[in-house]
Amino acid sequence: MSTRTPRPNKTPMTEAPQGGFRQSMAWLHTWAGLTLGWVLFLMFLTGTAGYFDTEIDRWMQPELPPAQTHLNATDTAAVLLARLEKEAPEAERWFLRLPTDRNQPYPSVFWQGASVDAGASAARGNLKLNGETGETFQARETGGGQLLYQMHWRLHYLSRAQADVIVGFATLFMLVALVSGVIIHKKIFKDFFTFRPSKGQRSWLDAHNVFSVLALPFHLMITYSGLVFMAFSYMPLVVAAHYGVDGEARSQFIADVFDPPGQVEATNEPAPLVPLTGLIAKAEDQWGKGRIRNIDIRHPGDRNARVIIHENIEKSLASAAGLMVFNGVSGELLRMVPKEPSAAKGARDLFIGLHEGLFAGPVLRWLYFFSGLLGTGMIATGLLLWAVKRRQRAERAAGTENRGLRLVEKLNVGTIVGLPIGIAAYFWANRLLPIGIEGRADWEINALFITWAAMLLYGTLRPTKRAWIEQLSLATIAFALLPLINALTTNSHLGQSLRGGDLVMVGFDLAMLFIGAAFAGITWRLISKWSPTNGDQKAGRQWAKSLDLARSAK
Amino acid sequence: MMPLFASTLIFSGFLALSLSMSRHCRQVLNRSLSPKANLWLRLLGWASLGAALMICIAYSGWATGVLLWLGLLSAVGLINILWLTYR
Repeated sequence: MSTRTPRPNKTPMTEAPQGGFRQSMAWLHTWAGLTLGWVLFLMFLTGTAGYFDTEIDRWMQPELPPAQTHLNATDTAAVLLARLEKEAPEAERWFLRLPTDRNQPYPSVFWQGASVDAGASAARGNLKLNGETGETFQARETGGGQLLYQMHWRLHYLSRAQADVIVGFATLFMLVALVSGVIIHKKIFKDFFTFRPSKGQRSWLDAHNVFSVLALPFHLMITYSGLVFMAFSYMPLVVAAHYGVDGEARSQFIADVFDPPGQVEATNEPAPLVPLTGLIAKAEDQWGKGRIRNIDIRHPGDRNARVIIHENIEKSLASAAGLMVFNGVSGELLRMVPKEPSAAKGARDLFIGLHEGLFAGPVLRWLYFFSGLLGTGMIATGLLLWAVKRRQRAERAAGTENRGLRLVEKLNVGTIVGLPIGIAAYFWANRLLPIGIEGRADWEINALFITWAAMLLYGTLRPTKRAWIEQLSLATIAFALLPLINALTTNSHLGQSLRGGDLVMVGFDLAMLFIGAAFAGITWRLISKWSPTNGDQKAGRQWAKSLDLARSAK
Repeated sequence: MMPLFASTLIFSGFLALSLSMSRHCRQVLNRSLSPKANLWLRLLGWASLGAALMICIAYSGWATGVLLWLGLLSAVGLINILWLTYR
């Protein structure tokens, strides 16, 4: 990292100690924000898309019917259980997910430790099933919205340990940048409404401030809670001190914290599983109709079978839910686990719940998405501001332009526009890759990264301003054509989904059109600003005027 | 309907607060207001934001109500800013 000190800010030097502190905070803010800024941009953008993960899932599997959340728990559980009995006999665990809401739109099952000798299709498996028929949904292979959303902390190609380190540092730097940003931004209230366009560096600073301050509570919450997710990875010694350091000790700790209490071993004496109808009725009496999320059956068909029913987490801020543990043979209720077993776990659940926003209904979900976009904009404008500031200085004093500035400019255009183009390529690949080819889901996500890499490369080959305009134009086309590609390759085009009232498909297509329009607006603005004399907008207007005069003189 | 009502209150609250600042007041009305008028605008502004908070809480409970209010502040605030700039 360069050791060059940033430009002194405008605090008068007479306030030496305060000015010194602010200046050092400004330095910290600049470099904490820049160093991993592009990783943070990726994390914020894909994380924001993640607030619509299941909606994106649905668009990427147009073969699926609309969400099956209207099905009732008793019938769906019976259908799923029948399928599991056929698919996974003598399993150690059957897990039934009921369609509850947008977080879990379709029923699915998974199982572990089934006996292939007894006729199981595999020892373990995971199936998304039609809740009406129990049949497996036939749909194209895709990473869907889940993969896009997981990218914001798994960074895709890296191992879990590598990603944890990078994401951890990026999140810490983000927190540092937020706190130091609040310190150096002296007039949070006075400048709250201030945006002065077409003033170069000043405008970028205004925009950066607006994006940061408007959603500051969201930015602080999302960053801090991001760290809470990883607390066990970043502070392993706390666990190690109580449990030890080997793998077994760690699994014991995870089991103590996350497993429902009162687990027992199988006896290997067969006994029929209690009918679920009665247990479901008891749980729905307690929580209300349609409030059951999962049914977890341990040792089905054993005398020590247990049925654990999970409450849905919708409407509760913390990502915790109640549990009911039943004897799986007699049906006796063994225990009820309340939502918050301890204050520490309660605090963790609250932060994780706030971060994921699974409880959010449509209005709040859009506001989450919008706040995420503001965060993405905050990072983008911060990165741009760094470059604009130094570019202006380089234009004033020849020879101060350096490799670092050029590198940041290239990374900016290749990431701030290049990554969104990559995401569009991910959606294009979903529609255009032949169905049924080997590793289809992998190639979708490869398409994202290949496109992004190409955009980064393209940025280095073209003059910066040309690269911006050309990539923005490409982004416009890539997003605006998606509804058309969808119409040409599937039966679920906009006209069809509008008529059928399929809001998820309509919403996705319209959102893509809107994003395309937004990119078009930015492109148009940059073209009018930078043409034709490479000067500012005023020069452009004067040029247009002189053309008019020349024409009328003829 | 309630979130929309809260949004209008937030928009008017922010509008009053921005008008109580001489920079934005000149932007909109081409003049500055008296200190007394500014004080009233500020009171009105904060009261509107407070009323919006109450509506959000009444609409969806304490916890999600506060979140809803904060989210609306971000979204509506941006509209206020764009309105002031590109009116």
